[in-house]
Formats: sequence, structure tokens, C-alpha cells
Amino acid sequence: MKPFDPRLLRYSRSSRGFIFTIVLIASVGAVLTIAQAFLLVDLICKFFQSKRAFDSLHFEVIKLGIVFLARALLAFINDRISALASSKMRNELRTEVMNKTLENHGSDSTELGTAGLALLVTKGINNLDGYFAKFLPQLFIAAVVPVTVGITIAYRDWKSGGIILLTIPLIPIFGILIGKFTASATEKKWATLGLLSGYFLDLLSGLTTLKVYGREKLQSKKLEEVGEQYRSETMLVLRISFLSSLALELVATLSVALLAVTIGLRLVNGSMPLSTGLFVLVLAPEVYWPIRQVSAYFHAASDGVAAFNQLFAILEKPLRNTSFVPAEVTEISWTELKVNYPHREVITIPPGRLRLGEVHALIGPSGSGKSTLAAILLGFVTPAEGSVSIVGAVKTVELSEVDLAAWRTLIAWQPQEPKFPIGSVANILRHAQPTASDNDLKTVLLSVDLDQSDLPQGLQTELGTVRQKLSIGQLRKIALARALLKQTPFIILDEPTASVDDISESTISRLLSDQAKLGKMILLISHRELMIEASTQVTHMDVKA
Amino acid sequence: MRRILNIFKLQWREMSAAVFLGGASLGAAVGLLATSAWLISMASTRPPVLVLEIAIVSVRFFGLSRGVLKYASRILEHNSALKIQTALRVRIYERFSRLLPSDYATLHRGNLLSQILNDVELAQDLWLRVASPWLAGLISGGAGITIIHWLLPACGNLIGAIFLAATFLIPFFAMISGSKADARNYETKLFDQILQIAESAPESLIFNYDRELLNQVDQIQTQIAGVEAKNASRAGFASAFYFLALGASVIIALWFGARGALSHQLAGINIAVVALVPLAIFDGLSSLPGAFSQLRLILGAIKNLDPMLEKIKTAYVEDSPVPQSVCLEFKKVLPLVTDATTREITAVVGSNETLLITGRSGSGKSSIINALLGFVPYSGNIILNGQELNPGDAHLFSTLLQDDYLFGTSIRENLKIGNPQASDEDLLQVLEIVELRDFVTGLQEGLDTMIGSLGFNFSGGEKQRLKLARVLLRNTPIFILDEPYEFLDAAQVERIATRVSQKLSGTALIIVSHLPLSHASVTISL
Repeated sequence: MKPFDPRLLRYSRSSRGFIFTIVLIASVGAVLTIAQAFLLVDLICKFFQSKRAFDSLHFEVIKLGIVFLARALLAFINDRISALASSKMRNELRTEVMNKTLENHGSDSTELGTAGLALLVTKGINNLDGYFAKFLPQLFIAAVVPVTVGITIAYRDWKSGGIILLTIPLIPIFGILIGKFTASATEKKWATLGLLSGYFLDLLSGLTTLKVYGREKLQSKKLEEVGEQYRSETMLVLRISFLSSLALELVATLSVALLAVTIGLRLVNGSMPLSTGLFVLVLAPEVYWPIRQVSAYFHAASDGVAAFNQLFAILEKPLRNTSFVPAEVTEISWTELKVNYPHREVITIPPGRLRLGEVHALIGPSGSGKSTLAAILLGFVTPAEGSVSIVGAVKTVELSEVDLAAWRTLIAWQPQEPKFPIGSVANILRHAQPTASDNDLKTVLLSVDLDQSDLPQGLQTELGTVRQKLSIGQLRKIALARALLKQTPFIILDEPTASVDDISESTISRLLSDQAKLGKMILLISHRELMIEASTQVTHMDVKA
Repeated sequence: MRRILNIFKLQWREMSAAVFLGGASLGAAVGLLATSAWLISMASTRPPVLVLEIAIVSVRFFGLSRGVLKYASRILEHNSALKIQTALRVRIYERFSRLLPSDYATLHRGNLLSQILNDVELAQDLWLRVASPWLAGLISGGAGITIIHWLLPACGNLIGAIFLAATFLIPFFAMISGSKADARNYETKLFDQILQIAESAPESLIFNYDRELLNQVDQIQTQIAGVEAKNASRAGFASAFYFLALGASVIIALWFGARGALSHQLAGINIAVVALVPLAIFDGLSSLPGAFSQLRLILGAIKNLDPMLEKIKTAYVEDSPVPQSVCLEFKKVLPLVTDATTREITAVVGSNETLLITGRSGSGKSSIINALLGFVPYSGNIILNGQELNPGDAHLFSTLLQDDYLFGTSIRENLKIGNPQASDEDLLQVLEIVELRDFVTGLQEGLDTMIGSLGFNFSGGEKQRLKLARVLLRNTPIFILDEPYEFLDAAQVERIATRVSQKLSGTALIIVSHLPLSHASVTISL
């Protein structure tokens, strides 16, 4: 990870203005620091060497007071602006990532896992606060302040300026060397750390299972061991990072010491006035401080920076750029399709087709690619080989050429495991048909053999909440009802009658035949005999050995 | 607060060492500035170089020890923080593991889990970001003020008062200003919303509520931005206050220094020492404004965690002896739950028998199992070998739940939850029963293949069969299988069911299913 990634400017619009403001603040800050050192040293010398009384120097003291006031004001402005900008940049990134995730139909979530994505977007982006509010400003402060202060010192005393000029580059060079050396070690560790910290979450998620297996007590010991392992691994990473800041600090200290010794000797020689010596000595640490602070903040921000790669991986996914808008569909056909999932063997789907009025059943063992074919037709998965044609009365196009949003208006789908948003049954059904009346909703629920009076609060029963108490079978029926309500020519049903009893199943199989007779085309995935009997054609899918 | 402090206390040795070393490091910075100010002032009076020798050595000593002490302090600080984090996690896990599933059912939505995870990390910040730097700053400040006090007592007292005021007022300022709203609540809401989008993105695109979901994210973000804006001013005020206190101290030091020098109470070479030391002692406080602006958040997290750290004492339950054969009797059993349908059942199942419970979806099949497992109360009687079922009988049951969990670890580790002593051969044998043996051995990493978001992409049916294999590794007289053949096609169900009933022959087997199964000796329908 580079300390500053220019891609950031692209995805976070407010970052540009922020960086400009920060440079401005840093410059004013540098001037104030110099003024403070100058006035303070001047006063010390006048009291010490000229033995002046405090009262005779009111004006100088007031000036010093004003400098402190100005620094206080600047600190307020700096902290506020940094925090606000950080908040804004994080929000912008979040919005961009979520937009992109949805545009890519959540397929990113399958790579990170849903919880992984949620963690990345909340905690991951929040961890960038250290990067945005501290590290980024400091990076620019480090570019402005040492140069300004260094030039001022050189102007006052060119010999000291020369020493500083020689030692300044040591810090970044040293920093880069250490960074190179430690980066690979650190990066490797972060991956394991992620796994280890997920362990606690995993245990709590699977607590019921552990309890049923009587293993919950054993796990507490394991959790302690994993925590111990986590600690020792983290400490390895931290030791490296703390050692590198120690090394940088020692370089800075040695540089100041070198300077102090020369100043001391020149003062003893009488070849340098005290005011210059003190001035240089007070200001010299200000040259090294901002650069060292960059490395310290980089460590603090490293938690967040780990998220950058994941974020940019999502943000930089190419978007599909297709514009053909299909108006209607009368037939869908596909050649042999091959899909590669990571870590698994290639899934091969035999060719097939589906016309209006047909119910096409896909049967076969789990893992043979039935749901994958559904995902391809829905535009969620792109096959590595093979193509899908959408035949309309006027024109035939490849699925890869159509505008997916438009294509999806022609499809309704009942997923194998419906994930409803938080809301009432009525609201969820109305997503498919916003103008449906309560009676329409009751009718369609009855048609899938679900009497709304069997639901705890009828149509107002809340779904997607913590205490969702509907059975899996009931949820499937609601998903099926939603698919029917959308009234599209093409319907994909993935296991509509799993966990559903015989009576409902026969109702639903009759419903499918009726729908087909109404001129719809239905792709059906099912393991159930009764459902398969209702189909007009059947494709057997198999796992290729 | 009390319970969490008790956990912190366990690390008190390392923590006090870290504070001491941190204070010493900041103290070295004070010493560095004081000795170098003296050195330069002294040098300007052109004394013999020998006079400066001690000061030169001290400058080097302080310069080097500052970094080394800080390194040691940070190591101890973080080490103890990580130990605290582990201790917190273990304690929270232990508490939940002693409750009944119905009590932590709420955990199973992203909401609470993510909040706990966050809060545990925030809680250690109380030590790492607040207490430790604050105490170290106090120590080094004390050292610096002692130097000033030694040179000019009145000046030391006054600056000491300002320093103390700053150490206590900066935190106070940081805490009272700013938003009262708890940003944590919004973050949790955001997490849930993102989780929902990630899960239901495909459905939202088909049913046109994708924009709605994104708008909800924006709304939560606006609320978070509002809280953060208030916190931004909070941190700003504290920083400004810090510079004002520093400025006042420096000017006071100059005033006392000038007067002291004129009245010969203070050697002239020490004016620079008195005037510059305040810069160093306030430096120790410079991280406080940022840290304390987080304090409200941290305290919120601790308040939330504290009740979860309560130790629950569970009575020791002795396992009942394993009987040769069992007879399990349900007499008018009615699970007592308010938010799900239940039906009363009466049935008997013994060793070598299979009881099939079928019924329509929502008819209360799973509630019966929850009652049997002791997760929900029931009326009526469940009699095992003539005696009322009691907690000591739990080890006689093996259960496949409908929402059984596969852990984010290897296939082997997951299966071994069924039986930790199982050999690879045992594992392969049960995989054979569920028709996954060839599949698993065919995988590149075989039994070591990882499951879950970080590993292999298993289909619904494959996951179901893994869970089934896991329960088959158990060796108990009673088995309960809730919808074991979900997602499998009819032919496969038939084959697997036959092998499962062979494997479990001799046990009392209770199967809950919406499908009729041919191997059942008793069937009850709800």
C-alpha cells in the first residue's frame, strides 16, 4: 500500500479540497511555530543576557501571547476540518462501494462473504478515520513544515541549516528502507489476523449448534488459545512497527544531538550568539517531528489501510456496458454453458430452451448447476463458455448484449433461500406490484396455499427482523407469491416446494400448470416428483466426474 | 463498569509497568529539553568545556532513553490490551454458552454480534488510548513541575495548577461538548443495512427495491455525519484549550523567570530552563484531546458490555448412565412458546424404532424438538425409561437442527465437532453415507478444505449433507433429525435415508420431515 493512493481522489471528491486546505493550515502552522520560537528565544535572551525587566517588554510578551492564541485557533480549525473531512470522505467511499456492489448485483458479496462486506463497509471504512483525519493531513504537514522550518534555520545560521539539510533525507530514506523490510512480514500477518479475529464471531454464530453437540465448554478453552495466538502474532507485527519508529526516533535524536554539540562548541568559542543557538535548538526538533509523526500515524492507520485493497477491488470492477432493451421474450435458448467457481470444478450445463406456455424442470443432484443456470438467466453469473439467446417476435439477441435492468423487468424469481428486507409481508409483496390492493395480496397468497390468517399479524407480519417466527415453508410461499405478483412472461422458481407439505405442493403444481397455460414460461428447479410431473419438459443435470 | 475493571485488574502488573515506562519516556523528553536549555545557556557564558561535560552526557542519556523507554512502554501497553481483549471475549462467550438458545436467539442477526465485536475493541481503548497516555502524561508533568518548583517554587505551584487543570479539564471538555447521541447505535444500524443489501442484492434488483435500500444507507450516513460533526468540534475545543494552557504557562514562566533573575533568586542560565520545560510537559498531553473525544463512545461500549461479563453459575449436572436400550414417551407434550404455533403430541419411541413427525409448514414440528432439547418449557411429560427427562440426559441425544451451523474452518474440524476422537477413516465413512466421500477426496485439499466465505463455495445440498454426516459421527442412543433431506432429489433421499437408518439402527430415531419416509415405524402428523 502506497502512503497516498491517487485513486482516492477519484472516488472521494471532497478529498481534493481537503488536501488543499490542509496544506494551507500546515503552512500557517509552520509560520506560527517559527514565530513562537523566535519570540520565546528573544525574550529569554533579553531577560538572561540584557537583564531586562518583564515590564519593559510588554509588547513582545503580548506578541507571544497572540501567537499562542493563533495556534489554539488553528488547532481548533485543523481538528475540526480534519474530522469533518474524514467523516465526509468515509461516507463518500461507503456510498460508492454500495452503489458498485448493487450494480454488480451483490456478486462482490460472494467473494468477501456478506458479513465480510458489511464489516468492510462499516468497521473497515471507519478504521480509515486514522488515515483520513490524521495520517493524510500529517503527510502534507510533513511535506510543508520541515522545508519551511529548515529554510528559516538556514537563513538564521547557514551552518546549522547545512547539517539539517544533510540529515533530513536520512529519515525518509531510513523510513523507506525499514518499510520495505517490514511490509512483506506485516502483510502476511494481517491475513492470519483476519482469520483469527473472525473466530470469536464464528463461535457466537454457531453457539446453538455447539450447545446441541455438547461442545460449548471445550470451545471456551479453544477461544482462549486462539486469542493467545492472535496476541502473539499481533505482537510480532507491532514489535516490527514499534522498532521502526524507535529507529526513526533515534535518527532524529542523533541529528539533534549532532546539532546541539556543534552549537555548544560554537557558543563556547564565542562564534555564535546565544539567541541563534537557542533558536536553532528550539526549532530543530520541529524539522524531524512531522516526518516521524508520519510513520507513527501510518502505523495507527495501518488497520484501515488494509481495507484499501479490498475497497478498490470492489470499486474498480468493470461495469457491463450494454444498452439493448428487450421489449418482449417468446423463447429463451442456451448452448452448453460452463461456469467456473473459485475452488471448484467447472460446472457444465447442458443446452436447452424454454418457450411461452412451457414449464421446464431442471433435476439432478445438488451441485450439478441448477441454481447456477437460474443465476445465468437472471444476469447474476456470466458463463465462461456458451451463450444464452433471448428470442423475441422481432429480434433475437444474446443475453450478454442486453441491458440487464430492462431484461430483469421481464423476469420474476423465487430464490431457493429468500432473503426478505425488513418490512411487513404486504410491503414485501408490493415490491413486485406496487398498486396491488390488500385483497389482491390475500388472493395471491391463497393461490400458493398460504392463508394470511395463519400469519401472526396477517399481512402486517414483519419479516426480516430478529424474531422472525415464520417457518421456512411459509417464507418460501411468500417468495413464490411475490414472484407471481410481478406478472412477467418469464418465471424462475428455485425449489418452490422444499419444506412444503403435500397438500400445498399439489396446489402449487396445479398453479404452475395454470400459469403455463396463461402463456408464461417457467423454469422450475425441484426435487419433488409431483412438481416434475407438472412440467412439460425435464432436463437431467449431472455432476461431471 | 465494575466487572470490566475486574478484568482489567488481572493485568495490573504489565499495565503499571507500561504507565511507569511511558511516564519515564515523557520524563526523559522533559529532561532532554531542560538539560539542553541549561547546556546552551551555560555554553554562552563561555565556561571551561569540562563544566559542560555532565550536561552533554545527560542530554545524550535523555535523548536515547526517551525512544527506548517509549518502545518498551508501547510493547507492554499493547500486550496487556490484547490479553484484556481475549479475556473479554472468553468471558462473553462463556456467559452466552451457559444460556439457553432461546435467550441468545437475538444474537443471530448481524446486529448484536457486530456490536459486541466492536464494543470489545472499543473497551480496550479505555486503557490503550485514554488511561495509559493520561497517567503517563501526569507522571512526566509531575517531574517537569518538580524541576520548575525546585528553581522557582511560586512559579512551579502556578504552572502545576494550570497543568492539573488542563489534565482534568481537557477530558472534561472533550466529554461534555459534542453530540449526546450514541454513534454506536447508528453504526449497528448501518451494519445491518449493509448486511441486508449484501444478502438481498439479487432479489432487490429483480423486485426493484435496490434504490430504496441505498437510500436507507444514505439516511443512516447522514445521521452518522451529524454525530461526527459535533464530535469534530469537541476534539477541536480540547486542542485549542491545550494550546491556551501551554501559552499561559510559558508566559507565567517568563514572568517569574525575569523577576527571579533580577532579584537573584534564579541564576540567569536557568531562565531558559524554566521557560522551555512547560513546552515539554504539555507535550505529554498532546494526544489527550483526540483520545478523550472518543471517551463517550468507549464508555457507551463498556456500559453495553458490562452486563455480558456477569458470571453465570450453572449447577453441575452429572451425566446420567447410558442405558442399554431406551424408551422415550411423549405424554400430552405441549411446548410453551408464545410466538410460534404448537400442537400437543403423545407418542412413544424406543430403541430400534423410528418416529416420524410430519405436518404442514408452521405446524410446530420444530417446537417439539426445542422442548425435547430443553430449549423451551413444555407442559405434559417427556418420560425416558420411566423417568421424567432431566438435564443430565442431554448427552444421550444427538440432534441435527434445521439451522445447524457450519463453522468457518476445515471440513475435518467441522465434522469432528460430532466426535472429536473420530479418525479420518471414520470421517470418510460418514461422508460415504451422505454420498460426499468421492466429492471431498476429490477436492484439492480434501478434508482440510475450508468452509465458508473464505473457502469453498458449497451448494445448499452439499452443506446439508455435511451437517448430516457430522451428526452421524455421534454415538448416542437417541437421534433427532430435523428435515435431514432438504434440498436433495427423491432418488438421493431414498438412498441416503436407507443408509442413515442402517447406520442408526439400534437407536431411537426421531425424524421431523414434511416428506413421508418409508422407514418410519410410527408416524404422527401435526
